[in-house]
Amino acid sequence: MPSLIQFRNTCVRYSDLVTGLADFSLSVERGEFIYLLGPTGSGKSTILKLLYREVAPTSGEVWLDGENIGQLAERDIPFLRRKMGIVPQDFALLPNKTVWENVGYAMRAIGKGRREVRQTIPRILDQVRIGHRADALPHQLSGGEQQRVAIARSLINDPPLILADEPTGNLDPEHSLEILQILEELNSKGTTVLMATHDMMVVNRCPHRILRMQGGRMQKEGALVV
Amino acid sequence: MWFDRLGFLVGEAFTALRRNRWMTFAAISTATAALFLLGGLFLTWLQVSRSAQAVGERLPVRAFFRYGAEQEVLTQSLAEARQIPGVRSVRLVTKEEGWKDFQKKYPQVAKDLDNPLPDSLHVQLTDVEQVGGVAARLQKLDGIQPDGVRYQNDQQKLVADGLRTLHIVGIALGAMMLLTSGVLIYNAIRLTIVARRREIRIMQLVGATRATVRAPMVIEGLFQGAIGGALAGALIGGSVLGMQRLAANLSAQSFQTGFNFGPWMFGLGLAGAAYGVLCSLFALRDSGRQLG
Repeated sequence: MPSLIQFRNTCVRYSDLVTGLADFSLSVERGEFIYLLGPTGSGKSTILKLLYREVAPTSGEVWLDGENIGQLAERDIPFLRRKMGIVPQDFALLPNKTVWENVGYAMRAIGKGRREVRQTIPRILDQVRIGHRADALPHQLSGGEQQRVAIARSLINDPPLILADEPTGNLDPEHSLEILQILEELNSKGTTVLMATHDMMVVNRCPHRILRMQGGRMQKEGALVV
Repeated sequence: MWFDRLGFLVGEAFTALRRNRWMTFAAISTATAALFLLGGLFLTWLQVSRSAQAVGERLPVRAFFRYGAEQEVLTQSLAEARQIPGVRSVRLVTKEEGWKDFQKKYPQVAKDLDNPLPDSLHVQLTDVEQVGGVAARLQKLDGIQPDGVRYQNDQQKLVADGLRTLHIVGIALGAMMLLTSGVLIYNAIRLTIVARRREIRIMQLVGATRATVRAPMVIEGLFQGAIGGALAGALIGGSVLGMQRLAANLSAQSFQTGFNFGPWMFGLGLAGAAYGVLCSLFALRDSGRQLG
């Protein structure tokens, strides 16, 4: 069975002066949990953006589940994104909608009917342990709870892959570990997780495969941070 | 399922309309004003055209034959005159008939005179604006005297010029108003895109199609244009009824426009909706970066 994700000599150049990723190659197997570790501008977000096709490779190839997504037509990108869950750093919640409505809105946006939304949401919210706050508005939630809602929203398509871009970036250590725990639970059920972070505490507490990024290049790869 | 989907998209559009209520109000009211002006001027132009046609009937063109023109020439010219574009009807008036009419109209002048009139053609026009061309063609007919074509040039020219001016002013004013309302609808949609950037981002993250992201904005433009158009139709209807009542109160001659309320509201609503959609599409095209 081929790898779930493959980068082959991938380059992303934002302009003549700014390189997002340089000659990057990587294979990710199904069910892996990978940290993309590095400072701002190191290329870790670019890797995630390539996978959900917010950017296209300048050269090289990006394969996902046997498909060269670097060549994907614009109209097919939404369908690519339905095969993955995307968790942004800033939660991206709608402030005037409750937890339930936030997840429901995302489901409605991809064409799910009212009945399906009603049936699916309780399961998803329970999965990330936020079901008890279903009627709360985002401003009534802690940062960790808001991020759990964002993770819940990323699960609406039952994705085999989760891309989390600094999901603990705005959280205190306690809430960061809570989020990590949820991502690990999802991973233990077979979901592949790619998580961009610069939080060494998180990486040390829950060791997984690590890609150290610097200036758009992979500097080092290892299982544990020394 | 289809209905459910449409419900979601329309709901999104109405959320945006509520959120930008002042811009929505400005866009709808300007679209109303533009379509009211265009529709009103069109109606006025129709009414004036009808009146001009009546003027054309009341101000016939006469073409006088030379004295002693043969019967064959008269018949031949009559037939040719009927073929001239812009001619509604032609009647051959013999010198005897002409003299009889003259005597009836001006008995004092005619009483001591012998008949000085030649045979003539009395021509009625379909369109008063064509009087110059028709006169020129009549002049070339066989048997017509040099300078034998007579019509009340000034009055007919006045009517024709008035119509032309009304036409130009109407188009210019209407186009200006239409452009203004278009810019407002365009801006309302651009504002919606900014106001909804969070929803748009979420839609994009979870894999909503381009059509789903854009459809609420198109519906918003459609709604603004349709409401503006329907209101314009209603305003025109109200104005026409008001004028009819005023004319009746002043005991003036009846003011009949042939105005039909329903089709006007529907037609202007439809035109407004199409225009709203067009403006939305322009706004969406120019916001490509935010919309992905």
